[in-house]
Amino acid sequence: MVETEPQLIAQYVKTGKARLIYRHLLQLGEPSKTLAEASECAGAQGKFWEMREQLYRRQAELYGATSFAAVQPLVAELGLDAAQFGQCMDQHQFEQQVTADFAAAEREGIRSRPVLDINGTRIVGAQPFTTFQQVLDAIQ
Amino acid sequence: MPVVRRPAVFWLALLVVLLSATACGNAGAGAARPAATASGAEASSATTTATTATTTAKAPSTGASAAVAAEGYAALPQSKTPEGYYVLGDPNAPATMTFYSDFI
Repeated sequence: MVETEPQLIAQYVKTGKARLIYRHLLQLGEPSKTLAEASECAGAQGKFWEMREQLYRRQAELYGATSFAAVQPLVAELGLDAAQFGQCMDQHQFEQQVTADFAAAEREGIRSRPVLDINGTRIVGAQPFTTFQQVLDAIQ
Repeated sequence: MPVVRRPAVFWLALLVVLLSATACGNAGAGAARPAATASGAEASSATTTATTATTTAKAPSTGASAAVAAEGYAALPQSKTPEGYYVLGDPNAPATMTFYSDFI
């Protein structure tokens, strides 16, 4: 999914054919929540999508991260205000937001990850681009 | 016109070079990726097209992903839903892709 998403953005989001909504899953507990909060704290400074991409790029090294320190290198890299970001993480300003998002996703029947829902068509797991393409092209 | 005859060692060396190049190409394609498992069965859905009990999450691609980064998300419309979920792209686009995931 992470490999195909740039293609989806290039061919469908940039062309106005589709919009992409991101929903937080916290299935791995505290590490999932820490990184979800980091993305929201970056979002508070207008860099949600950029932080999200960097978190995916560094999945392996961030595995098990439960503290602000784990994502600190990204703060400077993305040009975020470190003090503001640190305060946001320390105070867990978005904990309730991401927890509520996850709870809502579970109520919507999401039990595994990743999942891409396209106008009600639910595609589970990492699939080739053509799988998404077929569904999207049928909508256009 | 004179015919240039190359010694057998030349052709042998050429063969070694070609075989080495082929081997390097295949090694790259099989590179290991970090894995994550998708647990649990997917709940019933009216239109579930593909379900995998266990899936391998692929590592971020450097090519296409870098292209998005280089051009910048700032060039795309960004908004939030009433629930506070981030939206990338035209809010009135005919298709809505809702991506459920975490970062690990």
